[in-house]
Amino acid sequence: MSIDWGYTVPPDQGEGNIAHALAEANAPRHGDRTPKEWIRANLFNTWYNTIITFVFGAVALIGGYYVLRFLFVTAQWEAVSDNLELFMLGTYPRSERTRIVVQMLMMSGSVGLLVGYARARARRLADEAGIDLIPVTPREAIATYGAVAVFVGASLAIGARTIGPYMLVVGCVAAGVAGFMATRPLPNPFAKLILFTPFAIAAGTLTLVSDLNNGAAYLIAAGATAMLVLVHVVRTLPLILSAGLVTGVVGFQALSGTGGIGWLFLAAALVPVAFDVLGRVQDNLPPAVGWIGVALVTVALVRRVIVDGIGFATAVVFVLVAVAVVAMLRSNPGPALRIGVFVVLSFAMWLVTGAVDLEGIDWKDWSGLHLNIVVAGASIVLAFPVGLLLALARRSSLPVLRYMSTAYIEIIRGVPLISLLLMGQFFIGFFLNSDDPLSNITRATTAITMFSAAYIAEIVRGGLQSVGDGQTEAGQALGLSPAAITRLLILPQALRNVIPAMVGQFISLFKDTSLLAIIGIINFLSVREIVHAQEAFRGVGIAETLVYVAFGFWAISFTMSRESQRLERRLGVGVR
Amino acid sequence: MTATSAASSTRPPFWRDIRVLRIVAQIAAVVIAFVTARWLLGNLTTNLDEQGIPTGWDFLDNPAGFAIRDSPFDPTSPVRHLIWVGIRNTAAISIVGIVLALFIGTFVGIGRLSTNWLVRKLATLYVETFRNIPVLVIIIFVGFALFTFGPLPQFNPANPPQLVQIPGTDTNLMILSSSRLGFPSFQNNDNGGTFWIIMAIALLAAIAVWVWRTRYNERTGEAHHRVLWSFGTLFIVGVTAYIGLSGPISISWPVVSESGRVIVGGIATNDGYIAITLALGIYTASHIAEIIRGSILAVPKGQNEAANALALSGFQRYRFVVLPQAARIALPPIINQFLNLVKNSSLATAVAFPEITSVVRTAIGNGNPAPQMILILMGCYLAFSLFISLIMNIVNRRLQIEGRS
Repeated sequence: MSIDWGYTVPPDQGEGNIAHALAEANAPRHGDRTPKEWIRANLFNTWYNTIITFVFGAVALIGGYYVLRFLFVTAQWEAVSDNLELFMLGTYPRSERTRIVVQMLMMSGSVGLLVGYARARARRLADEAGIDLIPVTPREAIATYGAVAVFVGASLAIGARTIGPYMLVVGCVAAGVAGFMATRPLPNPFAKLILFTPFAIAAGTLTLVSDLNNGAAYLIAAGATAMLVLVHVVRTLPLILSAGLVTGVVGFQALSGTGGIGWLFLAAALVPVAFDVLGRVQDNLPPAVGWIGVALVTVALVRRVIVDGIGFATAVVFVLVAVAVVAMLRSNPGPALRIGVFVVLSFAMWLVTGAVDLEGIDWKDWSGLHLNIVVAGASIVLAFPVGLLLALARRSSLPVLRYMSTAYIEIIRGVPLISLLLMGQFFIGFFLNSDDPLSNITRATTAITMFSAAYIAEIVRGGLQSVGDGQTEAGQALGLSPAAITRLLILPQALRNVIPAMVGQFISLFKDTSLLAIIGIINFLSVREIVHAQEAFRGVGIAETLVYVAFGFWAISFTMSRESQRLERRLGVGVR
Repeated sequence: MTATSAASSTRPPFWRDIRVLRIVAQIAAVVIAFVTARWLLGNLTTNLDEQGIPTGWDFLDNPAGFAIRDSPFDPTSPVRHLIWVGIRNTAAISIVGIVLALFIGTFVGIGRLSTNWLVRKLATLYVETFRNIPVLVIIIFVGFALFTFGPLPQFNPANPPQLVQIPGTDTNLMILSSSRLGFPSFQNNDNGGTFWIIMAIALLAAIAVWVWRTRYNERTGEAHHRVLWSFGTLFIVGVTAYIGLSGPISISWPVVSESGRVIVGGIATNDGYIAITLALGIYTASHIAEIIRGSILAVPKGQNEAANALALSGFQRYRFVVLPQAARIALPPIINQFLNLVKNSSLATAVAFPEITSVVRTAIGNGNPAPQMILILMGCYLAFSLFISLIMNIVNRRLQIEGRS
């Protein structure tokens, strides 16, 4: 490497004129480089770099030629383009496509609201700290989301035969924008019209899917519009967060139905706004209110048990009521009221979902890329708390807990995921004394969750170790309890420090969902097998379908990693 | 004063006493774990009995009931032998894969820091592409798109494989086809065993010479030339032994058999092995490249500046200042990648190469009890992991001490 002196004229060539050299040194150097200079400095600065440039340039040209020729000339994309829907949805029942459309639109709206929440929160924090928010530049946005956009665009370009898929993409973008705009002040009255886009989307999707029930579509649109208007008028952070989460959960239930413990997720989604309201009215409440609430719920619960018998749902509510009673007994009104509110909420949501009683598509019927995303999402949501607990247990001062969690983590990290998936496939059912066997996908998700939890635990442990002892000591000096020190001081700092590693783990979890192919679950990768079993594509287009699948995985993983780098820059991880 | 001392000397009620609570919590954890394990195992044995699946280990001596392609393993061989074949194949993938990944990864990692813009961009392209694609997709791509349905000819009498020959001769350097591949290898003639024993002794001698030259350099401060000395020892002994034993080894070139169905001579291997090894090497290399780049960048800037201040050349700066320190940072995460590679070798089942996971799956499909087989499988991988950790920890410790002395 030639030594960079920081001058365009090296001092030994300046004929001793130090003023000349200093003036050169102060001159900006990067803007005034001509292309010729740039090429000289970056490609031909030494004799061996010149050789390397020619060799690798030839390799790149030849390789690039073959790749481009394959992509645009020789490749037969029919295997992909004729089966695009198969790649996306796999063997999902086609008559129920409407649910997927509703889910995608609601999820986009949810993402828009949540991004709006993150922006609004960041803006408030920046205002409090008296600093400016870093704006998102278009360049940054393209670098982050360009890959997914290209994947969606390429899929549409080769595979969309009708206007439907285009409408769906436009609808998703519109839903996301509407959700985001609802969280912002819109001074222009015409701009406020964007809050009514759900109606436009509903009308659009009606043309897209002929079997969609008009009434249901406009009902959902009306609900979404009402919520967006409410969010826009009130615009407090907890409300925005709750609205985003509720939209997401409802979107999911549009597909999965309202059975199971969906009501618990709904209640959890409503927690931010409920606690916010509680915080505002708490001082004016007589303490008896909590007792009355718990008593009411208990009566309703008892009635429910008498009517329906004891099931899983009743048991969960029962535990919640018991916790609420214990908390009320401990004469600490704050937490007790909160738990009471949560119990009331869950109960209300239980009643609501019971009243709606939407039949769902069991997730053993889901497949394609949709399944990869759902399984990855479910595993992330489930593995994170488990991993957190394992990490805390591994750092615990109680030896028994420490040993048990260490043994779990080390054993799981020592074996490949495929062995856990095989275990799930062949004999997880034998461990449970249940009459109806778990579906293949449930067992696989359990295995992936068990696997990821061990890795997440190690990442969190690294984060916990990165927080200095001084933080714990400061907490002790303030008289906080060990649990409060962990929750308020250690965990927020520890988790912030490990965001990049955590996102890396989530990416590899998403990539690992391709392993479902080995145990015979139809996912994005194994849709290929169905395609190549078709008469027209037997042994044809093998490379094409694989390139398409690889590109799909690549686009999503790459976007996640870029987003994590962006997050890292914004949060200033590793920067003081 | 008395009130406070009285308060501190009174023990809290036992349900708020931290000492009691700690013990209770641990006992509770043990009891819960024990009861859960007991319940699960109870269910397992009950269910296995109901299904008529044996719970013992006698099945290991039963015949496996299936054959393995290109291997002497036949349906009458016992399951025990099957597991041994699987372990050997996993080791074969892992060793070659690790060497390949380290080789590619080092070049790409250094390439990402090159002053040459083109090399830097190509290395970045490599890393960003392969790091974000699932390794299974890469394995299937190499296995199916490049081999089974790829451009290479099939291997049968009607359709001969492609021969890569040394120009001007009939000797096959490589035999390429979509299912079988052949490469040259060494072949022992008379005295072959003796030659290898002599070479092993010569290797030990070369190591001794290396140590001696290093000590000599430390004692006298004169140039050690240890590379020259020890390789010279090896070379001289090797040549002498080769001539003295009148050609104990020769190179065996791969040849297509007369029937046109198999490869004789050289090393014959199949597409499954090449696919899994190549794919794992390519994939793991992208991770190793990032580690190497990160470790070189992690060497403090002052070290570079100090090397420049001492007027070391670019090569000397890397050889004596940057790389020794970077290696110390890089080794633990690279070991982790080696372990990942071993674990990912379990995906060879996708290209039907009979490594341990693949043979265990087939064995379960042929009626062997799943719980025991999967327990064996997990035990094997845990053993592999422990083995690699052990070796690498020793290397790591040596590197750390050398760095500090």
